[in-house]
Amino acid sequence: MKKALIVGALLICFCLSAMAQNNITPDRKAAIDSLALEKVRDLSQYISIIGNKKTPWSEASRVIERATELFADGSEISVSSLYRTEILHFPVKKYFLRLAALNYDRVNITWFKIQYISDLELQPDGRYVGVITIYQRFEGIMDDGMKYMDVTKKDITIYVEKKSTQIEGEVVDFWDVMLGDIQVKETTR
Amino acid sequence: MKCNTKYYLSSCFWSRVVLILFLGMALMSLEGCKSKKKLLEEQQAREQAEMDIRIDKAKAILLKLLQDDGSMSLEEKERQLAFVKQQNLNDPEINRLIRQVEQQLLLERSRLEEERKRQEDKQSQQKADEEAEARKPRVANSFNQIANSSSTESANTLINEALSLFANEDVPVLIIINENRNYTDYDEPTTIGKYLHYLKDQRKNANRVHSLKVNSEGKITKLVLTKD
Amino acid sequence: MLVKHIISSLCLLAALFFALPAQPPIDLIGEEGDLYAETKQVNQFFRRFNCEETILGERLYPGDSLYHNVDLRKGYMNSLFDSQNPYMSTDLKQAFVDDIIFNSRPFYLDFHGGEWFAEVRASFRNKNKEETVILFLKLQEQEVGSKWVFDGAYLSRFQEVFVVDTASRDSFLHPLSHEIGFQNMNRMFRNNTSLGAFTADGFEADHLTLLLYEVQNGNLKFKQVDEVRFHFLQANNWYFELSRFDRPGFNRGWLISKLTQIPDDKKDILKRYIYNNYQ
Repeated sequence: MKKALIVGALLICFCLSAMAQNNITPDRKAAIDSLALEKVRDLSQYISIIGNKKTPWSEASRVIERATELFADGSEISVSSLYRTEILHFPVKKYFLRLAALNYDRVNITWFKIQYISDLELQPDGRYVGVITIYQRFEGIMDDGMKYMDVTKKDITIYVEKKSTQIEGEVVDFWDVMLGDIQVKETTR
Repeated sequence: MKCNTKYYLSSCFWSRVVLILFLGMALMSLEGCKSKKKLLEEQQAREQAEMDIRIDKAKAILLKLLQDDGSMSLEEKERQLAFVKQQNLNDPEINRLIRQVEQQLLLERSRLEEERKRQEDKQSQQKADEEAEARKPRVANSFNQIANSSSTESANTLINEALSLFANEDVPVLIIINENRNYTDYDEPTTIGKYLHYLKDQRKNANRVHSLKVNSEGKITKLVLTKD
Repeated sequence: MLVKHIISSLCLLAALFFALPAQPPIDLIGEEGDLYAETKQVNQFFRRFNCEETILGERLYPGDSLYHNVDLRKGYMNSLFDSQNPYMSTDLKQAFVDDIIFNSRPFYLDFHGGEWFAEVRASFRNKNKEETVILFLKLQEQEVGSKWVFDGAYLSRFQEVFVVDTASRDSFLHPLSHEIGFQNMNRMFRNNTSLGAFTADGFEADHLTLLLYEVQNGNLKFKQVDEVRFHFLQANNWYFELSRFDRPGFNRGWLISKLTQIPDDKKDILKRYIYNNYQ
C-alpha cells in the first residue's frame, strides 16, 4: 500500500514536471487542438470555394489570399497517388492557383468523422509542432456529369506559438496556430 | 530783626508745607502709578487666560478633526478648520496641528474626488455596458445572417450593413479559445472586416458574442467572441 | 463525467475487439471502423503501445483510470503487429507482449528516450539517372526542443566504388613501394576503378559524407521520399521495426513489421548491421 502510494506520488510528480517542461496543460492542449482543427476545416471550405467554377475570380483570389494566410511561410503540399510513384510538391499558393484553374463546376469535400491529433513537440526555434491527420473524400463534378473522386489521408503540420499583442492598451496573450507542410496521400478505402 | 525772624520763621514754615505737600503729592502720584500697573497686569492676565481658553478650544477642535470619528462631513471639517485659522492664534502647537489637519483634509478631499469620479465612471461604464449589451443580439443576428446567406452578393450586402455597427472595418476582434481562473487564451486577433468575410466564406457562425465596447457615437470599437 | 464513462466503456470494448483481430469487427464506431483502427501516426503508435490514449484517440494522462491500463494495453498491443507477416510467430509476439506488459517493471516507449531511429528511402537524380539513397536519422535533443538529424546514409554506387576486389592479383602496393617513393601509385590511380582494395582492413567509406558532398556539388538532386520505417532498440532485449501498411481492413497504418529477441549488449552490432545492411 505504502509502496503504491509512493509510486503514485512519483507518477504525479513526473506528470507535473513533464507538463511544466512542456508548458502546455491538457486543457490548453485540448483548446489548441480544437483551434488547429478548426483552421484545417476552414482550409477545406476555402478549397471548396477556390475549386468551384462559379466563384468569381475576384472572390477566388481573395479566398486564395485568406487560405494562404493560414500557412507558415514556405509551406508545401506534397501529393501522392496510389497509381503513381511520383510525389508532386507544390508551394501552397501554387496549389490553390492550380485548383482554381481546374474549374470544376462543383467541388464537394466530405470529411470522415475520424481524425487524429498528435502531441505537441517543442522544436529548436521555440515553437511547438504537431500533426493533424484527417481523411477526406474529394469530388470534383463537371456540368456534363464527369466526376473526379478520391479519398485522401492528409497529414497536416501545425505550428503553435504563444504570442502577445496590445489591443486598446490591453495585453492580449494569444496562440498563433499556423498550418505547415501537408502530405496528401491517396488511401485505400 | 524780630520781623525778619518772624518772616524767616514764616517762610520756613511755608517751605515746609510746600515740601510736605510736594512729598505728599509725590507719594500720592506714586501710589496712583502703582495701582495702574496692577490694573494692566490684571488685564494682561485676563487676556492670557482668554487666549489659553481659545487655544485649548482650538486644540480640542483640531484634535477632534485629526481623530476623525466619522461624525462630521468634509465640509463641516473644512468649516471648523477655517474657524480655527481665522483666530490667528499664532501658537506653535496650534500651527502644527493646523498643518496636520490641512494635510488630512486634503487627502480626504482627493479620496472623495476619486470616489466621485469612480462612481461617475461606473455609471458611464454601466451605461456603455447596457448600450453594448443591447447591441449584442443585433451583432449576433447579423453574423448569423451573413453565415447563412444564400449567395455571395447577398452576403456582401449584409457585410456592408453589419459594418455600419462598427467604428471602422479595422475594429479588433478577439476570440477566446480557453478561459479559466488563471488565464484567458485567445486565437490570433483579427479585424471585423476580415471576420465578416470569414463568416461568409465558412458559412458557419461558431463563435458567440462575449463582450463589446462602444464609443460615444454608439459605434462598436472592440468585439470579443468566445467559442460555443 | 458521462463522456469519460462512455469513453472508458468503449475502450474496454475496443480492448476486447483488438484482442481478437481475426474476428469480424464489432461495429463499434460506424462504417469508419477501419480508420479508427488504423494506427494513423507514429505518435499514435507510441500512445497505443503505452496505453496513453483512448480508442477515440483522446490523450490519457496519469490519474485517468485507463492510463497504462493493462487490459486495454494488451488489446492495443495485439493490434500493433503486422498480422500478415508469417515470420512473426504468435509465440514470439506473446513473449514480447508478456515481457513489456507483465514484467515487474513494464516497459513504455519514450519519444525522447533515444535508441530508436528512422530509415528513409529517398530518390535522388544523378544527371538523368535516378538513384535510391537510404538515409538514417535520429532524434537529437537540443537546448530547446529536439530535431531529426542525419546519422548515416547508404548509396549502392558508393559501395561499388569501394568494394574490395579480392580476385585481382595486383590490387595492392607492394611492400617495397616506399623504396621507389610510392611511384607505383601513378599506375594504381590511373588503372583501378576499384580503389577499395588499397585501403586498410576495416575501412568503411562514410556514405553520408560522400552523399552530402555530391549533393552540395550539384551531382545529386533530391527528388522525393519513397518510404519511411523505424527501428526500435529501446525495449530490453528486444528489437522491432515499424513500417507503414496502407491496405484495406483493420490491420493497417503503422505496425510492427519485424520483431527479434536480442541481448542488449548485441544491439550495437545490430544497429551497425542495419546502417550497413546493404553493404
